[in-house]
Amino acid sequence: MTRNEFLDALADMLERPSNSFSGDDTLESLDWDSIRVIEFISVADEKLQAEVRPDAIAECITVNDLVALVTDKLT
Amino acid sequence: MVQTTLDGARIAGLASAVPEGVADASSLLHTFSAEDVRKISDSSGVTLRRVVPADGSVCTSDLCEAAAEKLIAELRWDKDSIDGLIFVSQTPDYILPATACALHGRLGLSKACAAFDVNLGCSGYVYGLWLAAQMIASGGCSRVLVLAGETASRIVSPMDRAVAPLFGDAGTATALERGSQKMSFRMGTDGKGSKNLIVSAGGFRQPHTPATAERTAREGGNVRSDEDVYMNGSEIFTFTLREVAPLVQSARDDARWSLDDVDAYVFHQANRFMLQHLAKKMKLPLERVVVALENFGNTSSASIPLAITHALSTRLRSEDMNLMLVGFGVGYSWGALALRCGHLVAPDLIIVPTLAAGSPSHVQSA
Repeated sequence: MTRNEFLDALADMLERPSNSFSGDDTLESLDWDSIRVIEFISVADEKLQAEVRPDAIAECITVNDLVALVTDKLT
Repeated sequence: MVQTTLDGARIAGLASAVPEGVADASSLLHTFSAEDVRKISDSSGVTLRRVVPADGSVCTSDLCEAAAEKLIAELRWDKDSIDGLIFVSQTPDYILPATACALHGRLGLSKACAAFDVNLGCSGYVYGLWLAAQMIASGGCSRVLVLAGETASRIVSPMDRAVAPLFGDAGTATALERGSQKMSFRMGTDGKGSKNLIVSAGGFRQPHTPATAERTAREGGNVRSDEDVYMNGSEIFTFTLREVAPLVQSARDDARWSLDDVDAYVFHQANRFMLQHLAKKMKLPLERVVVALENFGNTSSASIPLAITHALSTRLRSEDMNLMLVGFGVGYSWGALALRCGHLVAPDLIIVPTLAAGSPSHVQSA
């Protein structure tokens, strides 16, 4: 899965149109909460078979930070 | 993982009981927005929960007792023939004695009976069956009751959105006797996760004080005390993703079943989002994955038998089914059982009235 495909999966998860946010957007501006954290773990598991640590997600500020957690699984 | 394959016991029947009291997530509206509360309910799949009164007038043991009395009557078992009783719960009546002993007295069982408690939650039903089946297969016992239940509403802060809209109360009874149902168990534990689902105070490590009972603001705007249950949902979810798929695979291999040989997968009813993700991850046929928490919530050790009563009892009364029962959670602790069973005595769901629940044998005198 490419970076753009993963961003599309994230958009789907966030129930927003693709390209409606950028990597620099803060998670706070995207109504990020504890349910989103679990959904992100779920998307990373389903799409990339990546195990993402919850404490690593807690340190993320922007969308780019989130993507960095799975970057070695992206093509 | 611990592996046990047995062919010397059978499940004869099971019954489930819930309190008549019904709750929704409205208690959260004092603390969180309606939008927040709706999102939680959409994700968890829980609309209503059954809850006991907060005053101790209906305990886990009362729900289990109602289920046991109904089940014993429908099985037409002589109570003197029951020589084992296992009470699985994290909400016992007392610090001591074991609630299993109190229940033994209230049910009027024979003195020739082993009775003890098991302190486990989400995995506890499978552990209870594992113990009971081995007690019977070893020749030590001939008829064993596994009474599994929880009244989690008593240890949940109504202002903690990680737990308040999720947990419900229920008590169940499962009867095992000598017989021939092939059972394949797999069990495991990871105590490194114990801090992620915990009631930390009120026991002996951190005894009750006024401070431990005080509800204060915590992470994410949640409000609870150290005597309320704390759950780190994302850590629990991560643990589940790591352990449950290999657990199910192992139990299925032990039983020599293919994916399609399983007639019903009954997972611990943690929450709908988790069950759906697990089903997708393991490529299970969705119509065979039981989801039965909309009107009950997550009932801890009672959730698997309650889901069976709710969704499968009609079929199990008349036919044999290949069941995969999978418990996982608090501990961390997990267990799976692959078994073929059927022609069970499976009464309809029992509703325990609030007023009539206290029987004279356990009502405290003033």
